[in-house]
Formats: sequence, C-alpha cells, structure tokens
Amino acid sequence: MRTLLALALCAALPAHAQSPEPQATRAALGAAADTIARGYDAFAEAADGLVSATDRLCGAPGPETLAEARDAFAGAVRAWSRIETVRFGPVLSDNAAERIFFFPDRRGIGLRQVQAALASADEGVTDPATLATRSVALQGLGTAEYLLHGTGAEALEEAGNAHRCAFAGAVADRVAATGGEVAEAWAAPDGIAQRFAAPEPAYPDFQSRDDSLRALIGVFTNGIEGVRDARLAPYAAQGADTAMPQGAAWTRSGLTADALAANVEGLERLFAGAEIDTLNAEARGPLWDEIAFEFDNLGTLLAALAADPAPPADERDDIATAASFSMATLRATFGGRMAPALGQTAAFSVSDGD
Amino acid sequence: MPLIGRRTLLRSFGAGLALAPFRAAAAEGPLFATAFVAGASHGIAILDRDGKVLRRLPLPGRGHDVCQGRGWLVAFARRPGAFALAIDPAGTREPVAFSAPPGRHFYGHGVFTPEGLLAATENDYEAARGALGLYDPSDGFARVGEWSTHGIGPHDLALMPGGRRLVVANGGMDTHPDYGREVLNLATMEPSVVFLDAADGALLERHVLPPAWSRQSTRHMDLLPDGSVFVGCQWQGAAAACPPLLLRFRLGEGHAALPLGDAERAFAGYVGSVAANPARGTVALTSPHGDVAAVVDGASGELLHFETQTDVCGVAADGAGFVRSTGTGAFGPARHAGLAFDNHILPLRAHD
Repeated sequence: MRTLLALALCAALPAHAQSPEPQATRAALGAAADTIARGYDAFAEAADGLVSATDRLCGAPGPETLAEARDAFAGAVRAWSRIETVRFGPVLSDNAAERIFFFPDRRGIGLRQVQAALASADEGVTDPATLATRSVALQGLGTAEYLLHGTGAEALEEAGNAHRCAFAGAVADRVAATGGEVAEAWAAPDGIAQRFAAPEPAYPDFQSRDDSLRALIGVFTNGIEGVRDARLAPYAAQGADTAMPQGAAWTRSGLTADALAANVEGLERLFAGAEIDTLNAEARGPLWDEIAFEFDNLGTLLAALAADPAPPADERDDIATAASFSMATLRATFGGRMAPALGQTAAFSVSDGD
Repeated sequence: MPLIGRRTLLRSFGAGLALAPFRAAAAEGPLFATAFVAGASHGIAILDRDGKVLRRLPLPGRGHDVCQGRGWLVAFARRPGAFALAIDPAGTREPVAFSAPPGRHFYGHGVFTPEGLLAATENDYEAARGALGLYDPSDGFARVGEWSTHGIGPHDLALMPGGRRLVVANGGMDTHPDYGREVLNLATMEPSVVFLDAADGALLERHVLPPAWSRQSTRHMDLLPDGSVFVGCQWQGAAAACPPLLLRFRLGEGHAALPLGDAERAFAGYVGSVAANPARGTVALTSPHGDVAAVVDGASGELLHFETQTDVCGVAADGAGFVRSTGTGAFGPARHAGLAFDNHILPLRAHD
C-alpha cells in the first residue's frame, strides 16, 4: 500500500496542465526572491539607521537629533511597509513580523505596556537582550513610534530623559536585530530564496514550482486584502472630525498614508521585479498591462493622501473609497485571472478558505 | 457590525419560503446539504449522491456549514457573518431566520444538544472570547443563553457518542470585524480542543496544543463511534515548520498526531474539511490549498488513499466511502458550471 501511495503522490502532485515552462518559472521565482530579499535588506538597513539615530539622540538630546531620529523612524516604517505584505518564510518564525510591528493592536496591549514601562522606569526595557524576552508588543516599531512621537516625546529634546531615550534605543536594536535575521535568512545561499526559486520534493516548504507560485500569488491576493482591511479601512472609517483616526496604523507619527502608499509600492515592486510577464503569453499581454495600470492608479491615489496629512474629510473619503475599489479590483485580477494564467487554481476556496 | 433585523433578514431570503419536500425528487440513497456560491448569489443546496441538485435556497450572504436536528436544517453564515437560516425539510414549517446578537458573529458551525437546543460557535469579538450561543428551536430560535468555549476562535464542534458531551475546536485566532479577517494574536495563539458537558456546558477537559504548535489552528472535526475525535488544522506559521495537520483526541487522553508522511506537505498547511466514516473506521480530509484529498485509517492512522482534485474541500461519508465537492462546481461525479460549493457537506439523516 505504501509503495502504491508513493507512486500516486509522485504522479499526482504537480499536475497543472497550464503551468508555465519550468525554465521561465525558475527565472521568475528567482527574480521574485531577489526582490523580496532586497526589500528585507532595505528594511534592515533602515532599522540600522534608526539605531544610529537614537544613539545620537541619546548622546546629544536636542531638537535636531530628535528630528533625525524621527526621520530615521519614518524611513524604517516606509521600508517595513514595502515588505510587510510578504507573509511566508522566516518572517513567520519566532514571531518576527509581530516583533517588528505588532499590529493591529485593537486592545492597546502595546500601548499599555509601553506606558507602564515608562511610568515605572523599568530598566529591563533599556537593555536589548532583556527586551527580547519581553512581550513582542513591546519590542517593535509601534513602541518606537510612541517613544518618539507619543505623549512626552518632546522631552527627548532635553537632557534628563535617559530612560525614555535608552528605551527607544533598545527598541531600535531589537527591530534591527529581528530585521537583520530575516534579511540574512533570505540572503543565505542555501536558504529560503533557493528553496523558493528552485523547489525540490525534499524541501519542507516548497516542493514544487506550484507551491512557490501559490505563495507568490498569495502575497498579492492576501497582501492587498490585508492592506485594504487592516490599513485603509480603519483610516477611512474615522469620523469626519477626528484628527487622529483610532485603529489606523502610524497615527502618532502621521505616517498612516505614507505607510499605505509604501504597502502598495512594495507590492508593485514585487510584481515588476518578479518578471511575471516572462512566464507566458497570458501573463505578458493585456492582463499584465491591466495590473500595472491599476497599481499606477492606486499609487496615484495613495500619493495624494500621503501628500496632504490632513485633507478635508470628504476628499479623503473619496480617495479612500476609490483606493478601496482599486484594491478590490487588483485582488480579483490577481486571484481570478493572473493565478490561472500561471497555472494556479482560481476557485474561491483556495484564496478565500476558512 | 450592524445587526440585521429579523424582518430584513427574512425578506432577504426571498419569497416563497416554504420548502416542499425534496425527497420525492431524489433517487434512492442518501441526501446531502451544502452551502454554495453562484456568481454574486449565495445559498444552500440539497443534492443526492450523484450530485444532482434537488433544491436550492437563497442566503443573504456566503454560508459555511449546515447542521441538522429537531426536524430542522440550519445554515450558518461564514465568519464574520451573523445570520442563520433554519428550514424544515418536511416543508411543514416556515423557515426561521435569526442572527447572532450584537457584538457577536457566527463561525459557521453548530450542533443540536440532547436537550434540543442549537449550540453555535460564536466570536465575542470585543472580549476576544469564544462562546457557544444557545438557540431554542421551539421558540423561533430565540437565543436563550450561552456557554464559554474556554478559548479564542471556536470553529467546528460535535456531539460526542452517547450525547452527553460536546467537543469544540478553539482555533485560537482572534479576529475583529473592524480588521476583516486579519489575525490579531498570531504571537499569542493558544489553540485547544475542549470537552464540555452537553447538559450545562461545564468544562470537562481542555487540551491545549504544545507551545511549538501555537500557530496550529484547530478547526474542523468529525468523530468515530469509539469517541475518537479527528481534528484537521490550519498552520499559521512558516511552511518549513508545519506540524502534523491531523490530530486525534480522546476524552481523558489528550491528543495524538496522525502524520500523513509524504502526503503531509501536499496539504500546504491547510485542512479544509474532515469527515469520518463509521462504517469503515476511516477519516477523510481535504485541502483546497493543496488541491488534495486523503483517507486514513482512524485507528492506526495509516494513509489509505491520496489523490489530487482541484479546489477540493467539502467531504462527507457516503456508504463505505466519501463524497467530495469543490469550489469549481464538482459534487461527487457531477459537474455544475457556475456553482462553487463551500467548505462542508452535511449528510442528511432521514429522521431527525
């Protein structure tokens, strides 16, 4: 029975008749892996920049060094936002994604913890090694945002706030360490990039190119859905007179729209970088153009939001509505048309299971 | 989440709610109920074992599972939906539409208790706790109480053989309608399977998965008459670290993993449906993510059958084997263009 089953497994697994040619798939998956690895590299570099900036801030508190730290923070947020929609691989190990940014935090777990640590002048949070053992909600960019932009952050311009600044420095260290680990995992010659680009039946994660293509398509379908539901929707749902939208990401730093734009920019980079258009005629033709057009359209909408941090409510609502529609179109196009063009199932249970 | 009024909900199910008996239209043999999607419309369908559609009933949104008891069939909304529809297969009673209360949504599964109440898995999403909502079919499915599931994200549930205990899979995933289907607690998931007293909901046993499996969401289940509970899981972690997806629980024993060998990876970390066949002591599981279905021996865990099928998910015992359905319109040997069958199939009992 075991032998028969083994034969059945070998014969049955990669059975998509319309799958692209192996050579082209391997090249496209390699390009996708490179793009993802570059995204994590960029984030790790930006996180290192935050470490340096917080070091300078703590060494010489003042308006300029605080502004530099905030700039570095914004750079890290943008870099993370460009890559955070990739939800497979090492970022899922050891809660790496949550360590970098614990969100959505609807119950304010991170906020309560950071406020408690500040109120008690908890020395543990100023040591990166100790902080690494604490709640993941306390170790990431959400905490850094509160420390650099939240209540009492202005005090960082003056000497005598060593605890808060050292806390920010430890958080920056943790973010850089976690980001660095993920980046290294993607850069390893025999690591996930290799397994993703050249899958083998013996690999624990990617046994066939269909596995890899499914993961790649999932970045777009699930990523767009997540950005729409967890980032755009809370931002758009705010009351017309609400200056700080509750439930949206990056509200204290005013980076909500910037990060949204970076989310989409990252997806667009992956779409272009993965060279999906090289896979077959369907992927290369009007379908590719439609997706590129929709990304461009969405990018323009979100850039308009990012350009004006406080647009009139009706204007913001109009843009957000259009952006939500555009995201729905993109998701449907990836799931319903691009996936089958790449030999993947388009049926609803695959992309929308429970 | 706005609560849909009962009248509004009933209107949305359409006119002509009375359901004529469908047995007359069927060939001999068992019947099945399943939720479906047809373009922009949703509903539940009654089919025979050949996949012939005998009845279609509209739903106001996407359904998930169907359960049977006290002469009713009850279809639930898929999470985070809050509607449910009870229909009388005999056609003697008007359908009853009801909703989860404000602050709750259904997870799409329910079961009738020996006392005749319908117990439905619900998300108390403001408190991030799982509940079994209790609905009384003798009173228009009024909500008459609730029991805790002692975990987050309860999904599938079943009545144990003998009818004195319930078993519930707490998937461990915290979600809130404000953020769609985004999981809010990946770092702190604590999936479990609990046994409850079916008379009063008292906790009898709670089996939490080991910390290394904290992202292994326990989701769908079925039972064999010896009390073995087979739970299919959905892995939320890195694919390279995926634990066994099929677990067996027994009251008083905790869990045992039933590794699928080489077939395990083909499931892509996702079991969409589980069905046990008491006639053979076998258990079927499906994965629309991996396009695969398998059958194992319930006692030994030996893999007996494995095959690929595009977007396969629904599965139910049928005679000595199983009938399966897909999101591409297949049900058993039949193919229905334009129909997508949802995740689960309920084998209908003749008298219930």
